[in-house]
Amino acid sequence: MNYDVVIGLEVHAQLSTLTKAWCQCEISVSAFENTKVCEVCSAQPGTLPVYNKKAIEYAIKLGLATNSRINKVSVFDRKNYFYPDLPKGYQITQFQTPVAENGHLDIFDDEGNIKKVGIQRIQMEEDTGKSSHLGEKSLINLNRSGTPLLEIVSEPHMSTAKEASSYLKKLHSILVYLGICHGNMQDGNFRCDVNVSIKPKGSEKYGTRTEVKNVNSFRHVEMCIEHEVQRHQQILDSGNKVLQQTLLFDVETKATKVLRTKSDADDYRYFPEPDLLPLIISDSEIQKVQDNLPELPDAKIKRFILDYGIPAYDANVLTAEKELANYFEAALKNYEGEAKKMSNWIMVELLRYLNEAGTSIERSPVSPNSLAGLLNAINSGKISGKQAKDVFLKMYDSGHSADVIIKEMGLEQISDEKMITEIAQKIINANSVNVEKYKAGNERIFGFFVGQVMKETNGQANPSLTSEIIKRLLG
Amino acid sequence: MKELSTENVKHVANLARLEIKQEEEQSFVQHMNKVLSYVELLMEVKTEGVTPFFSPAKEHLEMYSDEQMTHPDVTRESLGAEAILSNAPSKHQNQFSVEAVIEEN
Amino acid sequence: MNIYDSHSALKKKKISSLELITEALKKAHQNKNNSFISLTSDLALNQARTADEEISARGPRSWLHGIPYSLKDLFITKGIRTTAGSKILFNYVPPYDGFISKKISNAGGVLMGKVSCDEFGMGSTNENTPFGPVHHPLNPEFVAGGSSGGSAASVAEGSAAFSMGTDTGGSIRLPANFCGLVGFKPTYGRVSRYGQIAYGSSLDQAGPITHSVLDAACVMEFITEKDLLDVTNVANKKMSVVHELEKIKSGYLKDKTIGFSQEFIDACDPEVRNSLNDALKIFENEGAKLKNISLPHLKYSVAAYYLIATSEASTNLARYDGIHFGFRDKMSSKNLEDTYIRSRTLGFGEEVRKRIILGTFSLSAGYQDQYFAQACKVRRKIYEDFTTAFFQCDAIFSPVCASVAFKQGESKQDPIKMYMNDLYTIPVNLAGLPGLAIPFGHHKGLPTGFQLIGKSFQDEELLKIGHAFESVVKG
Repeated sequence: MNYDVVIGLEVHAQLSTLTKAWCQCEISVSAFENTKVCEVCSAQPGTLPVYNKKAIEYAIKLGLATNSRINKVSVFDRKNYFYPDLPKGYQITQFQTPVAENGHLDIFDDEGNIKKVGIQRIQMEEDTGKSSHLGEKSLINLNRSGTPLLEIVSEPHMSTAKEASSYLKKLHSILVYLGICHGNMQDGNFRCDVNVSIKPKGSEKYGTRTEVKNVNSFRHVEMCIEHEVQRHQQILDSGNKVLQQTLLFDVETKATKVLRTKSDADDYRYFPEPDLLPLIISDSEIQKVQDNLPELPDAKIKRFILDYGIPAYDANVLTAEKELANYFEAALKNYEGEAKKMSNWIMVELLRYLNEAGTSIERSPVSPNSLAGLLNAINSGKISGKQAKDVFLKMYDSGHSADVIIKEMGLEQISDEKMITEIAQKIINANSVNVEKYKAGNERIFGFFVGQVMKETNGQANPSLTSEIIKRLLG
Repeated sequence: MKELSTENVKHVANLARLEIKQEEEQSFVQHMNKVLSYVELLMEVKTEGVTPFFSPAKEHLEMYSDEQMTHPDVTRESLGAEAILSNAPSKHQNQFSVEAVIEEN
Repeated sequence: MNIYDSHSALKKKKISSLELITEALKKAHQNKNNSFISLTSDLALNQARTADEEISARGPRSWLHGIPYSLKDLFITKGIRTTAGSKILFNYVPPYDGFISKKISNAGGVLMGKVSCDEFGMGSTNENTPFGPVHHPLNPEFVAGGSSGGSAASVAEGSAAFSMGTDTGGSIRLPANFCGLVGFKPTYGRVSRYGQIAYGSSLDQAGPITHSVLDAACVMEFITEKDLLDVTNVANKKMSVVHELEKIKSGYLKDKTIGFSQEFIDACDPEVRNSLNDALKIFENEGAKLKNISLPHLKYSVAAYYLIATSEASTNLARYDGIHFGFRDKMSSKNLEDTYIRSRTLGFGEEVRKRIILGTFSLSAGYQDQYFAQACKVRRKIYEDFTTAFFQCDAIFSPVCASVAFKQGESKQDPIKMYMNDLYTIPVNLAGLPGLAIPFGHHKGLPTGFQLIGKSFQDEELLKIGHAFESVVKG
């Protein structure tokens, strides 16, 4: 049977505030265990939460950046459940009225068309502490307890693994563009829960969904969706029913495993948090945040296409990360040629080396200015495109500028017309037989003369200039 | 409403991670049913269209300024692991220690 | 020993703080009423000596300087055991200081120790605690009232000049009334709840138990400072009313309108009814207008309260899980669930467990609308009753309790009957209003009295009316 796939995503983004959601403890991933903890985030009796002003601003930022409606009044609720890394015995979250609702992001579907993915809600909440295991014991570190989170719940608008990861990448880049989330997936700054269901093609009724918790890379999200879709199909095709389950994605086996089967036991007993007042956001506050929003990926893509004349594909790649876009624009500053050439070099050469080294654009050993220098050297004919690749590699390894490397390698092209003319004349004079052949119509012999000039100049003669001169001399 | 059974009450107790000791079973179930039948009284109040009243503070928002509801994003000294763990029933290497989390299967 | 006179004596150097403390300690050591859970004698003596040095150098710096006081054991005291009257916090020594403890200590108050209460404030008799029942100071066969029974008993017996209690449904006013003392529950939000162990967060409010209204005003000056650690604490409402009270003579009641419900008065035991009628006559004689008012929804108070308070308690008490602090049953905990269940089941007393179960049920899936939400809607009807009533009067006169103090053990039989003791105090918490219990008369050696209920945030006016009444009675 043919099925429609329905995918919804819930993202937990840790905010990059300096302090926690309800207290002023520092947020630190590297601190020693339980050193960034106070009475509030360890839930000592008698303690109360106080809003983090910055976290509210960040929530408004994301709301605006995702075209969401900001709720002027939103409220906080307690979600009650017992877990050792949750010292209060409840999580403060937004259940009834979240800070923002009804947004959307534009992504490309698998055919390359723009597709709107709805965002149901953005809610403010708090992270838990961390448990680790030591034999039969669990050890609890509360340093992370109370870190502000935004939970971003998408509509179930995605229908392929690719779409899901495009949506995630887009959301991730927006969070980082806004400067409200470090976006480091290894550190758990950006975590994703995946909801998958399938239904017979064209059917109105949704199938039973499964939820895969805490998938922590874009690639794993794609893999886990593909796996789940296949699993659901097999179950349905064999006449069985999909169980509503919470799953984990096992990176080793590339398969999902059951964490728990949903039941009545999931009774979170949400109720309004009496220790906090409703969050009231004024129009002027929203306006203030709006006025200070940075340029977002979509706007940047448009501008890159329009201002720099690069293809949409390039603009997309270059804006995926804010730092990459900044690099591109910085490189263009001291560069005189076509932007497309710059974008090629960044995408094809620079990103390849950076990826291989597993490092980021911020740590690129080749500065934007150096790359511009290299491309200028090509455009002015100082070096050939082929040589440039070797030069680039050396620049990457040493961190030196193009000029320095070109000099070091003795690669500077000879564009001195008089000098090339002299060498070429000498070669023509010494090879009268080949001159005759050429004149008799053997055009292929032309290459011989160019080659000889190159040989004489250790390959440094400007190739196009050399051809021109030889053509002239041979008449 | 119909009376809660012992099973019902035990289920609720378990949500709150409480166990009803055998010798208390009867008195707990009785107590619950007594109180629940008493609070049935509330059903006679017509509350259609009435907004729930959750907290007096939420009825007097004019008394509160924005500033006082928030803390600035400026870090303050934490208490330190020793103080935080000083009341822990069990600890290990500066962490709270508890019997391992058991995942349901 | 009251605050106001002791302060004058200290100021005039007629007595030293050390003498006051020594006298109070004598009473405390006699331990006639089982008031104290933790007596801090050495600390008190040291603080008294310091206070005397300071007073002899510069005079007392506040009404409370050098004055002995006790704290209900729901108030967090850094470095001093704080039990909430529960086995689950039997050995809990807070790593931080609560608002009340800090403010009174800053004012120079001398802490005698932590006094008994019903476990987590849940009870009206101070019998629900593993530390043993508190006895009525005038007759040990009777209860002192609860939940702040230790507070009332310590003030009545003279081991403290005043005590801080907490009031969720009458827990300050009832024991004060039973013991012949003044008990004041301020408007919700007037006193920070930071460092006050929570029972029902939208109802809890701290306040003093004292010998006079004037004394209550002395204490209020220091505990109404703005606290940024409690979001629900109002700004800029520091109370400063003692000097105004000092000027009040009997004429103050002239032209005040005192609302009352004849129905409530008639429902009381005869001895209480007589005392209430006598008190009303005094108001009338002083020129106050009496106005019979209608509060039609108050009969639903107890039902609404028991759902709301227990719902809030069920989540407030989730943090007592045997992991981060407090009691853990180590005997036979096999796994995590077992640790939770055994620690909580053995750590909490019977009444607390019953209330947690009721509250959990009231919030649980499928029942929340019928119970918790309906109770909150009825709460609004009660609030509106008061709003309407206060269009017609300046304060409302009502019973504190339909009876005088009852015998030890008597209340255990019927839960509803026990809960009904709080019928007249509970509505005040539901509406968040200030409530002032004032002693007036005796019956068979047990005190009687009445309650004045004020308008929201007009605590000062309520204290003035109460003080004017006391001035008339005391002459």
